[in-house]
Amino acid sequence: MWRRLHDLAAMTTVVLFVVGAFPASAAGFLTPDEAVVRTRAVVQEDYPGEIVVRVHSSTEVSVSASGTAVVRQQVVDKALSELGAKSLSVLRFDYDPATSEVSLQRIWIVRQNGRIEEVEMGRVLDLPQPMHSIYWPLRMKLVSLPPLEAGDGVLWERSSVGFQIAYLGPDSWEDPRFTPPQRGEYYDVVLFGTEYPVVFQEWTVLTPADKPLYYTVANGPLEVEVGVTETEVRRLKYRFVGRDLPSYGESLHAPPLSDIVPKVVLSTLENWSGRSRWFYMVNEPMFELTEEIEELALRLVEGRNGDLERIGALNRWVAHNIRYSGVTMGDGEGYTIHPAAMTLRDRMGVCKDKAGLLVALMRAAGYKETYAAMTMAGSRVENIAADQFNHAVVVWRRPDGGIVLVDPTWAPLSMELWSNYEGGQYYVPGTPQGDTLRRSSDISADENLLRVDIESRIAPEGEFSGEVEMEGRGAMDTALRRWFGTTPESEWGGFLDSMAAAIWPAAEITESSLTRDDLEDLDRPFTLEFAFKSSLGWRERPAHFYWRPASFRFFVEANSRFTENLTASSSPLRGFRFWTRKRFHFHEEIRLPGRYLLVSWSDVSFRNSLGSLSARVELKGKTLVVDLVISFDATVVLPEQMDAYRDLMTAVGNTRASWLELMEGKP
Amino acid sequence: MTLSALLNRLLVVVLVGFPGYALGGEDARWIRLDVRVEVHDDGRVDTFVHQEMEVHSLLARDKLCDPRFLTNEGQEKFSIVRARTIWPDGRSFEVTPRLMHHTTPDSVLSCPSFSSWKEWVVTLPAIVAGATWEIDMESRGIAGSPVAQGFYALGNGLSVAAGSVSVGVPAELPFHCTILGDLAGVRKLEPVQEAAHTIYRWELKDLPATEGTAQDRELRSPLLAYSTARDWGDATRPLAREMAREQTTLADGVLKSIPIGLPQDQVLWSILDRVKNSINLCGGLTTADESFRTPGEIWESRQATDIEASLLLSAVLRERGIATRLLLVSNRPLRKLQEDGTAGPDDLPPVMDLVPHPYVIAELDSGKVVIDAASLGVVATPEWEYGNQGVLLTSEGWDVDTGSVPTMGIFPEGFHIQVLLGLSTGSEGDRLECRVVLRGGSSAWSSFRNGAQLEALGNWVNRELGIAPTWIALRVDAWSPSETSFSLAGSLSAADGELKVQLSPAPFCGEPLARLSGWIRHGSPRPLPWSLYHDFRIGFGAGAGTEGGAGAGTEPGTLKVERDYLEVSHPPERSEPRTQWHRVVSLAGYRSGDSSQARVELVRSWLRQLEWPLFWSLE
Repeated sequence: MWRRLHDLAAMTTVVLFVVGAFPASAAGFLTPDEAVVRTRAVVQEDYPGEIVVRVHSSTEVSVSASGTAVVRQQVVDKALSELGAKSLSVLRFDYDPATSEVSLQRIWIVRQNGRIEEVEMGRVLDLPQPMHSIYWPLRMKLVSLPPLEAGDGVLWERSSVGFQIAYLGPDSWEDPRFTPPQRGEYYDVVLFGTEYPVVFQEWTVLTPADKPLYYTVANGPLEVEVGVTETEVRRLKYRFVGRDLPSYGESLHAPPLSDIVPKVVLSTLENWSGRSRWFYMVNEPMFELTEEIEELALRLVEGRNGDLERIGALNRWVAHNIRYSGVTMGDGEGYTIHPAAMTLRDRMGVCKDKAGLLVALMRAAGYKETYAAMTMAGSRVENIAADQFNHAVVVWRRPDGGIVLVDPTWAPLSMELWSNYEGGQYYVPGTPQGDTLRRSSDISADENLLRVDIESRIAPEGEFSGEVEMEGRGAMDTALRRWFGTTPESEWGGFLDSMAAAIWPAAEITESSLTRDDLEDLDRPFTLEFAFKSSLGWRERPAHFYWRPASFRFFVEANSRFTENLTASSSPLRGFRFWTRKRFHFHEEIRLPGRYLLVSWSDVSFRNSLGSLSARVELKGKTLVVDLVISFDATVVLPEQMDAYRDLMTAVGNTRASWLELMEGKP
Repeated sequence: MTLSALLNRLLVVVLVGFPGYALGGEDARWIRLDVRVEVHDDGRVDTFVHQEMEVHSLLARDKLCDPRFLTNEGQEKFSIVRARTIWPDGRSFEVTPRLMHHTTPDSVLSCPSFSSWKEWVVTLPAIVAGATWEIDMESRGIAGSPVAQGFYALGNGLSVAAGSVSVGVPAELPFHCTILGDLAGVRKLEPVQEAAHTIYRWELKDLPATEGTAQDRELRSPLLAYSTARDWGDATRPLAREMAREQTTLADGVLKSIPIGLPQDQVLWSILDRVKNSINLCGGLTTADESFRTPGEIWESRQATDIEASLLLSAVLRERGIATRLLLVSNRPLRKLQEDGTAGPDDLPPVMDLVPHPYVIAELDSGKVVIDAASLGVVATPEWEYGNQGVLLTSEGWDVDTGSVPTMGIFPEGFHIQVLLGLSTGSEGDRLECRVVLRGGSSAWSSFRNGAQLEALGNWVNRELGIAPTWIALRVDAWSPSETSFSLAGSLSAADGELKVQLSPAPFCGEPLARLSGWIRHGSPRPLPWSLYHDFRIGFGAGAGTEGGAGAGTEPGTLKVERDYLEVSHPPERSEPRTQWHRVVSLAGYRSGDSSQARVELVRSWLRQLEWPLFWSLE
C-alpha cells in the first residue's frame, strides 16, 4: 500500500512533526568523539559469530524540483575479528558517470584504543568497474585502507548527485546529466539491514513542498517520522529509522535481500500510469520498422499458423540470434531500449534490447498492440511507482484485451514464450494510455513436470542393465535441454556418466540418443534416452538382498535446476526462494533375477503446504514396480515455514535413503 | 620482466577471458593464428597477434565472441589495431570504439595495489553461425627487464588451420625458446638472422582440436615459452633475493599476537591463520613494475599475489626459526618439441610463468608441512601435481633444483577415513552420533578446519544417513595437518529401524581425486567418476543388535553393521589397473555401556601405487 501526507491520520506508525521539535530523532552524522564512543560500545561478546557490525549509518537525501537527488551519507563499521578487518580493508563506491557523481568526503579509522586516523584521499582510485556481459562504462571509487586490526572501526562519508544517488553542491544540481529521465520525479528503494548486524540506520529525504512522497514500509517495522521543515523554503521531510537489525548473511537459495530486510519504497509518482506512459514515450521511437525488419518478420512467420505459433517463431529467432552482450549506445543507456535496427545489426543486446527487437518484429508481423514492459525477475515489487525493475520483456495485448507475455531473453533452448521460471512475476507494460502493476500467472508444479521412466533388469549372474527415458514439461524441459545445450558435446559424456554412476556406482552408459538437433528442435518436447549396464559382482544369485532403486537414488541431481530444493541449507532469517515449483515422477520397473518377496515395505504418502511425496512399490511377478512422485509446490519458503519445509525434506530424505529388502520365495 | 608480463597477459586472455578451451573443436576453429614477439636489447618486449576465428555454433557465439585481454599498463601499451566480423557472404562489420571496453579485473577489487592491471573486452558485432571474426592487436613494452621471459598458449584446444609463431631476440642474448604440449601440426623452422637479431620460427598447420575434457584441453594445448635467462638460477634470482632478505619489521605485525615459546606446529598454524585472515589474495597479478615487494611491504599492504604470499609466509616462518623452501610447480604436463618434430622428454625452460603455483614447504622438527600459497591452505601433499615439473628454491644458498614433483607425502600410508557411528536412547528418543576421523594427506581436508565445508558435509552426511538436511549439529573436534575429526549428531525419527548408508570418500577427497584423474589418464575424454561408493547397512533398534561384530542379534538398542551384499569391484572397471582406490580395513558393530557403536574404516592407498619418476627427494 502507499502513503501520502494527507493520509497521515490513518497511519499508526507515522508521527507528524516539525523538524526541531523532536530532538530525540536527530541522530545525523556522528562527531569524531561520538564515533569513538559508539564504536567502542560494540563488543564481540554481544555479536557472537559476527565479524563486522555496522555501528551507525545515516543518509540524508535532498531532492530538487527537477528530481535530482543530492545525497550525503555517513557509515561507521567495526571489525570484530581479523576476518572482519580484512573484509573492511577495501572500500568500493559504484557510480555511473553518465547519470551521477560520487565524492568521498572523509575516511577515518577509529582505532581500538580510541585514536582516530584520517585516511589520505590520495588513496582513492577512480577505476572502471569490472564488466561481464554488460559493458556500459560504469566506474567506481576504490580505496585500499591502511592496515586494520580486529577492534578497529572505519568511518566514511560520501556524497553524490544524480538520479541514482548523490552530492557535489547546488551548482551541479542542474547538470543535465544528473536530471532524471522522468524529469521532476524522484524514487528510491532503501534497504535497512545488510550482511552484518546493524546497530542504527537512518535515512532521511527532503522534497519540495509540492512533491509529497508515496511510500510503503515492507518486511518489518521501522520508525517513521514525517513533517515539514521550518526553513525559509519549507520542505517535506521523511525520516526512517531501523535499530538493532540482525545480519542477513548469504546462503544458497536465500531470497534476495529486498524481499527479506525491512525496506522503504518511495516515489513522487502517485501511481504506475505515469511511469508506464514515460516508459512508452522514451522507447517508442526505438521500435521504428525498417525494410530489413519487416522482411525478416514476414519470412519468420511464413507457414506458421495461429498467433502463438507465429509469435513463437519470432521469439525464438530473437532468442537464438541476438546474443546476450550489452554495449552502450551513449545517452539514455540503461533505461532506454536500443533501436531495433541497431540490435538487429549488432546481433547482440541485453534484455531490453532483445525485447525491443521483438516488439518491432511482432509489430511488423501485424501484432500492432505490442509493447515493452519493465519487470523484476527474482523478487517482489511493492505497489509504489518506484523503479524496482531489473528486466525487460514484451507484452502483446490480444484483440480480446487479454495479455500475452513474451520473453526472448529467457527463451534460448526453451519451448516457452514466457518462461515458467517467471511465474508470479511483477511487470508494468509501457503503453500510450498508461498501465499498472501486473503480475504474471503462477506456474503450478505440474506445469514443470519431469517424468523419468526406467526399465531395468538384474540377471541371475549379477548383470544390471536398463534403459532410461526422461522428458520434461515447461521449465523442466528447458532445464534438460540447457543442461546439455550450453556445454560442448565433448562434455556430454561426463553428464551421462554421472547419472549412470548415481544409478549404480560402477554403471556405464552403453547407448544414448542425445543429439544437438534434438536439443534445438523446439517444436516438440525433448526426450533424453540412454541405456546403462553394470556388473553387480555377484558370485551367485543371492537368496536375500537389499536394493535401492534408481528412483530413490534420484540420479538426476547433477542438474542443479532439478534439485535446487534438495540443496537448500537452513537459513531461518531469510528462508528460501526457488526458481520454480516442480514435480518429479519416476516410474521404474526392475526385472528381478528370480522370484522374490518384498519384505517390510510400506508405501509412503506425505503432503503439506509446501509439497508432497508419494512412494509406492509393488511386486508384480518377477518385476518390482516403483512409482515415486515428489512435488515442490512453493517457490518461496518463509522463515516461519521452515518447520514445514523440514518435514517435507525429511520425507524426501527418508525415501531417498530407503532400501527394499527382497527375500527369495513365492507369495 | 616485460615479456613475462606480456605473455602472462596473453595467456590469461586465452585461458580466462577467452575460454577457447571450454569448447570442442566442432564449435569453433582458428582459421589463422599468428604470433610475433620481438625482444629488445633493454628487455622490452613487443608482441603482435593476428587471430581469425570461425564461429560454428550458438555456443561458440556465446562463449568466444567477447574476447578479453588482460594488460599491465605499467609495463606495456596495449591496443586493438583492428577488429571486425566477416560474414560468409563477405560483408564486413567493423568494431568501433563503442564495442571496445576498458575494465578492471575482478581480482583488483580486493587488491587495489594492483590497479595497473586492466582488461580490454572486444564485443564482436553481427556474429552469425559461419561468421569469422578477426582481431589484430599489439602490445608494446614500455619498461625493460634484465630477464625477459614469458609464454603464449596457442589455440587453447581449438583446431588451428594455419598460423605462425616467431620470436626475435638480439643475437648476443642467451635464449631459450620452445613450444611445449601437444605438438601435432607444429613444425619448427630454421632460425634466420635479421640484422643483429635471431628469429626463431614455427609453422602451424592443421593443428587438431585437443581431445578430452575442458581441463585436458586447457592443459595440453601447445604453448610457446621463451626466456633470456641463462638458467633457472638466473630466472629466479629476484625471487631468491627477496627470500633471503632478512626481515625485522614483520615481528611487530604478523608475529605480535603469537607468543614466544609455542611448539613449532602451533607457531605454524598461528602464523598461517594470521596471514590467511588478514591478506587479500589476488592470484597471478604483479605490481606495476613487476618487481617483487619485500615481505614487509606485502604485509603492510595486506594484499598479495600468490608468489608474494609465499614470500611473506616464508619470511615470517623463518623469523620464528622454521626453515622453509619454496616450490614452484607447473600447472600442466610439459613436453618439448624435438628437432625431429616429436615430443621429447620432460624439460623445463627457465620461464617463471611456467611454474605459477607456489608452495611453501615448512621444515618442522616433526616433519614437513606444505602450504599452498595460492589459497593459504595446508596441503599435506599437492597430490594433483605429482609428476608435474617444478622448481625448488632451497634455503641453503637458494640453490635451484628442477624436476618432477615427487610424492611428498608425510603420510605414506595414504588416506585413512574412519567413521564412528553411535546410537543412544534417551527420554527424547534415539540419537545418532557420527564421528569422522580423517587421517593422511589430502589437501581437501584442511578446508574443514575453518568450517568452510562443514555445512555441505553435514548435508551430505544427513542425506546419506537419511536424516533431514541441515538439522543436525556439527562440530569440529580436532584438527591438525595429519588428522581431522569432526562430529555430527541428530535425532532419529524412529525408535528403531535400519539405516542404509552409502559411504563415499567423495566429500573428503572428491576434488583432488577428480583432478588427479586428469593426470593419470592422459588421453581420457572423461573424468573418472569421483563418487565411488561403498554400501553398508547399519541396523538399529529391535532385532538389529549384535555384539562385537556382524551377526544376528535381537537385543534392542544396539547396532548391527555388516558389509553390504554387493561388492564394488576393486579397482572399478574404469580406473587404472594399478590403482587401488580404497579398501575396507575394519567393519564392526559393538555395544558399549548404554549405547552401540559402529566403526567403518576406509583406506585409500593409491599414493604408493603411482609410478611417477622421482627426480629429487624432499627427504
